[in-house]
Amino acid sequence: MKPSYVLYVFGLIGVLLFAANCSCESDVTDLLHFWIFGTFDLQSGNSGGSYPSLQGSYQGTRSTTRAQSMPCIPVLTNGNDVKPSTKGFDLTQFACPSAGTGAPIWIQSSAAYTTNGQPKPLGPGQGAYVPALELALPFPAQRAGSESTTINCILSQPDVFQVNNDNATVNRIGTCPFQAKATIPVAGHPLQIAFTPDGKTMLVTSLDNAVNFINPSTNTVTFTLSTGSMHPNGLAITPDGAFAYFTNFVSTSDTSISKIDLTTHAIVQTIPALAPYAQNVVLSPDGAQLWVTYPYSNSVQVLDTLTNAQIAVFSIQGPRGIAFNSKGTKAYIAEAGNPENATMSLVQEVDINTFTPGPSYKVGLGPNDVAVLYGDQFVVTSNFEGNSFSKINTVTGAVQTTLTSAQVSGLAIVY
Amino acid sequence: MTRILFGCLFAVCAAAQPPIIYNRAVVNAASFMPPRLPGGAIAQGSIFSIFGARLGPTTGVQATSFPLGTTLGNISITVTQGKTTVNVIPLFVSAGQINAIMPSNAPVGVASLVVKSSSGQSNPMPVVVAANAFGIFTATGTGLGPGILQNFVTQSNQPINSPNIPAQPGQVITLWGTGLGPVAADNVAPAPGNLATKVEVSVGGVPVTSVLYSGRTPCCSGVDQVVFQVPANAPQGCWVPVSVRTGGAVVSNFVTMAITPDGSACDSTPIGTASKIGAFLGVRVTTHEDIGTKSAIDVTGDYATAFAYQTPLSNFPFNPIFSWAPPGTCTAYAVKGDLLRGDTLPGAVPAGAKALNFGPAFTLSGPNGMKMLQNFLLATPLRYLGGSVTGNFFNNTLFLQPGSYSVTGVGGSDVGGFSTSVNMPQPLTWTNRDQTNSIDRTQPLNVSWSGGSGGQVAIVGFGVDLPTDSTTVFGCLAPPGATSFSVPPAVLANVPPTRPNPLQSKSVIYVASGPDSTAASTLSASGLDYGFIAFQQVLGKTVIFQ
Repeated sequence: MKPSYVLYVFGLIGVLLFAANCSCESDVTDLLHFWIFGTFDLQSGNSGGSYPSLQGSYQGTRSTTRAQSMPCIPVLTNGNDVKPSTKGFDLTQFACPSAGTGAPIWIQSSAAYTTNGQPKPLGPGQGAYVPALELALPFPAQRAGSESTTINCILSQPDVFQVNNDNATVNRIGTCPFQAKATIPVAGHPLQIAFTPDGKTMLVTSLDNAVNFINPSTNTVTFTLSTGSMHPNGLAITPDGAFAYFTNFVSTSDTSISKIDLTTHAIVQTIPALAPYAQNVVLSPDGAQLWVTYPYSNSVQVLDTLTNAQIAVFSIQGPRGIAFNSKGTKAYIAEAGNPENATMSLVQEVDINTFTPGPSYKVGLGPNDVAVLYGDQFVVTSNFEGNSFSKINTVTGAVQTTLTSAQVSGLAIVY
Repeated sequence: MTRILFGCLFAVCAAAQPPIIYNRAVVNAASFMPPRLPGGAIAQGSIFSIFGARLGPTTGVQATSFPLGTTLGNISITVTQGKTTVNVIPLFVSAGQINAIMPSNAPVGVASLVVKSSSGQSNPMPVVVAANAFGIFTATGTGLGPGILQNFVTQSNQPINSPNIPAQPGQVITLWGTGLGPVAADNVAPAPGNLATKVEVSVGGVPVTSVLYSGRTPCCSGVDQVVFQVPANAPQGCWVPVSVRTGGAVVSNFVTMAITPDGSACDSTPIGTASKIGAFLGVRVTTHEDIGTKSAIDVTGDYATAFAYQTPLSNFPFNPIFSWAPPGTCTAYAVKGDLLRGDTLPGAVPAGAKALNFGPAFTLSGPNGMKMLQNFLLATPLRYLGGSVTGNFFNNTLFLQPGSYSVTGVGGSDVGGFSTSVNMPQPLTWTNRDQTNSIDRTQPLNVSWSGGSGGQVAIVGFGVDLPTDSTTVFGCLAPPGATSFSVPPAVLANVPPTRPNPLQSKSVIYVASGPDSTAASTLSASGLDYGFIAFQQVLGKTVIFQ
């Protein structure tokens, strides 16, 4: 065989690599078999005129090979779980329940499952899942139609945290089995939760003038940052875990975005907001941009985190949640219309490379939280006024909306 | 309805819109390396490119004389770090692209770049300024492929190296690039002379021992020359990888040069000689996923690919997928995007390629029966044949078991019918697979294997960093008969480190065994200049790049 012949064969492998993820032959499933978990807690009518905000949601990561040898490790590192010897928290405080006991089971879900993993309807205290098994690499083993549909949860799946706005607490909920694990008192009217990348610190905003620092290994508040006259609402932590941003959710000209040094626990910078009621703040995956929602001003502002200069302003009616794809090339903004009682049902896609609008997707009424599933093909929304959640296939444009028996506010994707 | 208001807030924008710099679109003008990769910084005194919209006049304006100014076509650019602001020197401004010189006194580190025009000020874009970060200019203008290297024959005869005009071992070469480091003045014709930056040139992995010059070219601000002698023991071929490391740490883009013993044209078959190319490949890929999954699994997929296309020949034939480095060498490409999910290497789809019609279907028959494979197209060449995942509820639908297969094409309007038989070979054994977990990019990566079809072995690694939307892929071809190979650190230098969150990175290595004579055959069909069919096994594993 000629050498060039061999090279050409290797080249064809390259063709396979580059083509393996195309949707040329069939609808590509969400290869990663996501695990979705809805929370249903917040009641409307928070003090301070705050719209019932996003739930604190915790996006865990899939554990690694240790799952087999140490099956009871909750994953609580917010995506930093490659080295279990140096990450995580005190495992001894948690029991190791039997697989499946009390766990949400994918019941009678054959039809739903075989249509690309659409989760079954959720209700309070329920969840539905299939375990994450496979990476989004080329050459997947595609699903066949006769898969088993009764799947127990995996004990290594992470806990989720949920704010209870009325009771000034944060609930810790195990996902396998599905049960409450701890209740953490915090400052009044907690609204949003975020984890540092190393999983060692959880921050919670409290509308009643505080940001709570919580040690998830002990489920205790380690520090309460008084924010004076500011009413913290939205919350985002930089990818390096050094700083956090929170919004000051007020109607006056004092509305602002503040930056906390997470080492010193001090507010190091306060940026004037574009308009009253700055609500959510979301960082792009590389941390270069900070996106801020203004539901009462129908706009989304994009700031450069290096200079705090404004990059762009988008006109969005009643924006709520924002999520990015993993590459930070697209943003998905929940557009609910009237912030007090949603009138719209859209998710607006934005191309971040060019800062131009992409397609919009019709979901359930009042989309609130938005999450992009691993692999970037699917976007999930919780629809508060619509008592539903929606799953958008961004490749085909198809949207599946599933009714629930309660208003759905928070959303956490658990892998 | 969504409107986007750049800088206009809620007022109606009566005036023209300000410039927009696209996200992460400030790059070395030669390498185009993604800005967050180690080699993607902008060196002091180097030429870099800015991509965006409304950056300048519709018709581009070029700086034509010294001294160069800080405004061109009413466009100016600033770089700010803290309280320090410097003015960039524009060389070319147009609506979609600006080429400019990063001032030699620009502050090192992360800074903010802004373009200003009569319509206003652009969005700020973070840039990383470094003392040195070299990029090699390429004939393709993509940062990949044949570098702009001149073979020195005489002072008046220095042709650009190409597969038709290779260099010989020992020949003196002038390599063109940008990013060697700062000089005293950027706005005047550079004074010739070596710069202080340490320069190391590698030709096919062989260190160059004779670097004769490394500094600015007297003609052009920001443009550097590296003059070196091709090592006597340099590998030979049409696409020998060349890279430059500066400051002992920062590795440039990998480009190619042609080297033959006597300087005669090299064999660039089929890229450089065949206009109409066709192929059919059956492949089984088994990837051991033990990083980022709940438990270790082996994901196996059987695929077939086929295509036929016609493309014009080029003086600089190159396709990053097909133009492999010579045996015993490696190359690396650092590009924007996720190459493992939808994005492609520049030039991978041949420019101007026309798909050839080679019929409505192939039949593939083997130990597990027959499959009809329909509607292959150049843009969608892939067919899924079956797969399995160990230890779970998936059905095993694998199709390409080792054995004999026949492939028949009925032919189409451009390519005639054919029928041939080949064997699906046994996979090789990746003997140190389970020890290949955390890879220190400053050390050689050793891969060893046994068995297989006896064909040559290729090692292909991918590092995808999702938050910065960048990928570095490296490829190495082991010498014939080898049972191990060591990937040099320079090849790994621009692979992004795996993030602690496995959901944010894709780090995987593939080991592919080339087909032996029973697993490959010529695809003889009318209408093709070059065609073949082959079956192959590939092993993969997830890893952590540190």
